[in-house]
This record gives sequence, C-alpha cells and structure tokens, in this order.
Amino acid sequence: MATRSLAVDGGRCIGCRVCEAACSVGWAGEFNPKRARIRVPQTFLEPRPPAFCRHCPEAPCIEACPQGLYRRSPDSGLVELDEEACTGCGECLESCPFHAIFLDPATNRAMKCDLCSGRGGPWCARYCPRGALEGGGAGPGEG
Amino acid sequence: MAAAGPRILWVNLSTGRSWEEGLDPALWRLYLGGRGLGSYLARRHLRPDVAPLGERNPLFFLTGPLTGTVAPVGSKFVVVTRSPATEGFLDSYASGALAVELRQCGYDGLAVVGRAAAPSWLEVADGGVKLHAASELWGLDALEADARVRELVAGGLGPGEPAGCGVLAIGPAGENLVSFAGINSDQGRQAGRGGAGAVMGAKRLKAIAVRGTGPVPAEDPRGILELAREHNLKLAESPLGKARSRFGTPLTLDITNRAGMLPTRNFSSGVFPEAQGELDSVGVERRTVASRSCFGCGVACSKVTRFAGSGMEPLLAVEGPEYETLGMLGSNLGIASLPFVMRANHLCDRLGLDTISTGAVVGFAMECAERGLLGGEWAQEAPRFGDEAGALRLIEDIAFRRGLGGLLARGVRAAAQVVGQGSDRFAMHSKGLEFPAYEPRAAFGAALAYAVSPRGACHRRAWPPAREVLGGVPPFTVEGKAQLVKEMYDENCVLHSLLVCDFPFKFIPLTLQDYARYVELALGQAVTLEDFSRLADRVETCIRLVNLALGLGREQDTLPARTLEEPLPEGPPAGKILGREGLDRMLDEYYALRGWDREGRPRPETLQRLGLEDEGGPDGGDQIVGR
Repeated sequence: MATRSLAVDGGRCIGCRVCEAACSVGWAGEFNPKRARIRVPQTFLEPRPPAFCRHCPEAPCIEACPQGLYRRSPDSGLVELDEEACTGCGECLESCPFHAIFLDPATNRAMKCDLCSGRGGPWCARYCPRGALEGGGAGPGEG
Repeated sequence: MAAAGPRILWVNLSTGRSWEEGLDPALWRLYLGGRGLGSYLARRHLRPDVAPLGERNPLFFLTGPLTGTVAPVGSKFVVVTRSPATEGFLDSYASGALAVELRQCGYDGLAVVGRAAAPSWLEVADGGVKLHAASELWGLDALEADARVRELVAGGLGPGEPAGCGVLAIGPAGENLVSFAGINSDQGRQAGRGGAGAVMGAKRLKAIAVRGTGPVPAEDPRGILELAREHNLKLAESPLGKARSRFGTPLTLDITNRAGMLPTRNFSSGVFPEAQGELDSVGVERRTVASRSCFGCGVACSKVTRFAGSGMEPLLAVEGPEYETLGMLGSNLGIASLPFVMRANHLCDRLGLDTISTGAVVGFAMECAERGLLGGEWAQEAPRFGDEAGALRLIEDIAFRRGLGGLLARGVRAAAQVVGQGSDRFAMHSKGLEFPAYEPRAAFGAALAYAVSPRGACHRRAWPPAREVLGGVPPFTVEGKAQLVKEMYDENCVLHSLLVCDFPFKFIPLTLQDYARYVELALGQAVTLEDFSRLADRVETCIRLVNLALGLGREQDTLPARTLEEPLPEGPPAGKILGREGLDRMLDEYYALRGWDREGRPRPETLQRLGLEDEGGPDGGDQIVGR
C-alpha cells in the first residue's frame, strides 16, 4: 500500500516552492501557486517545510464540514473530499491543524492533497529539485 | 504565437488613477522583458527634465516572459528609473514573490508615477489597485514595514487563507532620499543599487504589496516543468552548483582574496589576510543556520546566519551576508569580524541602505579621517579603519542625514566634491555609483566593465574575473578585453531581459539555447540565438541612447585616479598599472565593437541596423502625469 501521506525531509527542503508550481500544473494545468494543495509558509529567516494534508488518523476536517463532504476511504485509508459539492464555507480550513486545506480562488471550493491518486502519484515529489518529498507512487510519467 | 504583448499597470500617485497599457506583441522578440523592456520604456519616458526625485520620474517594476514559471530562475524583477546617484539609466534587480504575484495579476510590469500628497502604500490585487494612507508605516524600518503590510493584507482576506503576497518596502534611508537607498523585497532582499529607494521615497510611497490569484501565462507549463526537472537533475551533479548551494556567494571571497582583488581599506589594497576563516566561506558557513531559495530555484545560494550576542546584545539573524557585503562592510572598512558584518548588514536592511555603496562611502570617510582631511565636527565623528562602533553609528547617521552622515548620504562623488583636497582620487565610483567588491586593478577587463556600465560601477552586467582570474585569460593586459566584456554584457543582457537569475545559468550550467527552449514553451513562439544576439545589441545601444540623452557620454565612462594611476602594494596585482591610456584603448575598441563612434555615440547605420532610428521620441512623462 502507498504511503499514508506525503512526507517531507525538512533538512532537504529549501523553500523553493517548485512543489506548489508542480501541484498547480498537475491539478489545474497552469502555474498558479494559489491553486496548489501544498504550500510553503513565507517565513523568511526561519524557512519551514511545506504544509500538506496528513490524512490524519483522527481528521478534524471530517467533523468540521457541515455538509459531510469529507470521508475516509475504506480502500486506501486516505481522507477524501468531494470537492465538486463544496460551497466554500471555510469551516474545514479553520479546523485543519496543519493549515493544509485551501480555497481554490478559481472555484471557491476547498481543496487539499490527495497524493495525486489516479494521476500517477504526487507531482510535487517528482519535480522537487532536492528530492525532499516522498509519497504514493513515482509520479507522472513514471507511475 | 502569444496573442498579447507585455501588459503594464500604470499608477499615478498624484491623481490616484490607474490604467493598463498593452504593449506591442512584437516587443517580446525585440526586448523580451526585464532590462530589455526597461530600455524600451526608458527611451520613451526619460529625458533630461525628468528629475530623478521629481514626480515625473517613472518607477518601473518589470518581469519577463519566464517569470513565475519554474524555468531557472524567474522570480526576479527589475526596477528601472532615472537614478538619483548617477542621473542616468538605472536597472536594479531583486528576487521576491512580487515578481510572481504581478504576473498572477495579469501584468508584466508595474509603473508608478507622480507623487502622493501624503505617505501611502500601494496594494495591487487581481482586479484592483488601492492606495492606502501610510501614516502608521512612515518612519518604520523596512523590515517592520514589510511585516505590518503583510498583516494588513492578511486582514482583508478570508478566514484561514494564507496571505501569500509580494511586499516591497523602503526604510528611513529611502524616506530621507539617501542617494543609495534601496528597495527591500520580502524583507531581506534588496534592489539595492542606484538609489531606487530614494525615488520611491520621493513619491512618498512606503510600500507595495501585490497579490494575484490568476495563472502565470505559459503556453506549455508541463513542458517547462519537465525541462526544469532535467536541469535540476543536472544541477544536483554539478560541482560548481554544489559548491554554490553549500556556500553561497561568500565562496567568492576565497577567490578574490587570493587574486588580490578583495577591496581592503577603501581599495588601498586587494588583500586582507585577516578575512581568512572569518569573512570567507569557512567563517560564514560556521554561522549559517539555513539556506533560503528564491521561487523555483534549486540552488538556494542565500544563507541565513545567526549570531548569539553576548551579554545584553540580542540574538541576531540575518539573510546574508552576501559576498558584496562581506567585502564592502568588512575588508573595505579594515574590519575582520563576521558578527560586525552581520550587524552592519542587518542595520542596512532595516534602514533600507545598499550595503555596497554604504561600505564604499564609509570606507571613503575612514580614509579621509586617516589623512586628516575632515574639519570640525566631521573630524570628531569620523571613524578610522577598523572602528566597528564608529562605523555602525555612521551608517545610522547616513540614513537620517545627520552630521557627516548627511554628507555621505549624497554618495561618494558628491562627498568628495565637498571634502576637496584631492579626495576625488580615492572616491571609488564610476558615474556616481560606488564600486562593488572587486578591485579592478586585479583584472583589467573588470575596469572596462565598470567604466562602460550604464548604471555606473557594476559587477552584474559583466564579471570578467570569471575569465581573467578563473579562466586563464591574462588579467594584467588590455588586449582582447573589449571583446571579452562585450560578450559578457551581451550574454547577461539576454538573461536579465528574460528575466532570469544568471546563477543557475553559470552553475548548472545552462546555455542560451536552453533558454530559447524555455521561451518557446512559455510564449509559444520560437526564438533563435540570432534573435538573442540582436536583442543584446539593440538593448545595450538603446540604453546608451537613453544615457546620452540624459547627459552621460564618454566623459563619464571613466574611473577614479586611484584605479588608473596607483599601483596596488601587494598580492598578484602588485605594481601593475592600467593607466588612462589603457582605459582609453579599451573604450575605443569597445565602442567600435558596438558600432558607436569615438565619443560613444551610436552611428546612424548602427541605429538603422537595430531598428532604433525612429522609435518614438521620449514623452518625458507629460502624457502620463497628466492622466
């Protein structure tokens, strides 16, 4: 079975944000860090590794969504979100302890990392210049 | 073929109005962006009666066709304006999210004109421009202003939404119109050179925040990702790349100190043995706690250093120091303490001062003091070489224009005019811009590069030591240097027009052919090496036209007497003299290679060849400020 979530090697991460760019291309076909499901905090002097969905064993987002759009997949164990039905209320964003759920500015729906399930594995990991990210399959083109 | 040409957002601070200008799509091939587009816009909008600190001087923030993609590495912008230091063309570069955010707003450039009635800050977002009162920001240091602006932007967003934005801010030096005030970008980065911060201060513009949520324009994002991946894999194997990633720019100090080109005590020597193990790669690595990367870059050459001060001194963390700062605020002041350089670097970042020019003017003041050339209170205030506390005090005085600091705030050229007594011999500048941290007597090509640089003494448009010190080209001769300098200018001109950082290009390394591929993937329009080469010729000559119109010609393509006439006392260049004849010969050859006459004026056939003969007269900002 695939890794349960992405994993980042904080010692390797240099905060270059290529993961954001790759994620947005993978999902939206465009360079647009605001549509990325992985984000590098802009902390400057104390660089911190990117935030992404951890698929928590006890996931607050599942409880937080008033429409019940989050669920744990019985097959993969991942936390899944029915993005199509989202109304953009933002409750899940508030609930996430990792600040890893975002509103897509183009659709005003919540979005988060799904390990690029069904798209060959995480794009961010494939394109990270430092090999700091790992998870799921080998990535597009090799998956 | 990309349908639209470069888009510029204009903001007039005098009237509060803003509008968009769509430029001719042909400009992509003719000028790309960055320096190239800046040369085109400068020719249209700069003329002698546009005073650098007047309301008609436009302040351009320009990106390029690769900005915001992950092509290595397009997260820089260039500030183009008329420089208060040189009164000529200024292009000053920095990295920062602003470049990416601007493209996400749908713009390739931002142009600010006019002057606000009261201190203001500018917010640019997807669909709008807001000019806010900055009464609570005015007077803050540049780092505080950046942090406060981020809070204000975040406050306007939805719950939980991170305030990813690009922020520029000036410090007290910019507010007080110091001629070498820089513009800070995302806190510790600076468009430092040439006084762009003073132009912003004169407009009463304290800060700019840009936040966009649209796509960065690119025809084939996946293609760019794949190509960048290939290049990043190459970077991981590159010895040059690995060294630059590990040590950052301080590694350069190891090289320059050996080559006798490390400015020491106001360029009176090129060797500073005390720097070893302290100001060099070894010393800086010891205090490095993190590497910081620009958007899209696998190199991460920027080093964050930390110093736990003793007793009451607070813990200090700073982005840097970079090589230039180590040289100009370290060896050039006769100071071999890394904690001091970090402290001075941090102080300059807060005050919004260019560390290079600051080091040059303080070094000049120290030499004046040693020689007893300063009278009255200045004599008492002026530190001597090696005086750390005195140097820090003087740096602060510069930003607030107090006492001797007030004199130095005008730049080293103006200061030498006031001090007189032959001090212009060792006022280290060209065209009014202070020398960066390379002693040109140690590599004669570097002397030519400084002299012909349109913005004044500059190491960024060409760095001949790469060949003269590291590449086997004899350093102490003028033979072939005009050709060498022209080739380097042309190559960097393409990179700085693209606008990408030249470090990945040099350290992966990449070729211009690689960038032609990136441009095609971004614009959907093929460009050739021939296009690049013509572009470089066109842009360099276009900038020459701008400078000539502003009164800068051959007479200003010169260097101080110390550089031309005095031999260095030690190291490899000991006893070598370039001489005025040496510089004149290189200038003659350089002009000829560019198709300029002996006075450095482009010949009519050159203008015709480059399509510059009738490209619209400058409007001097009349049409703009009237809007």
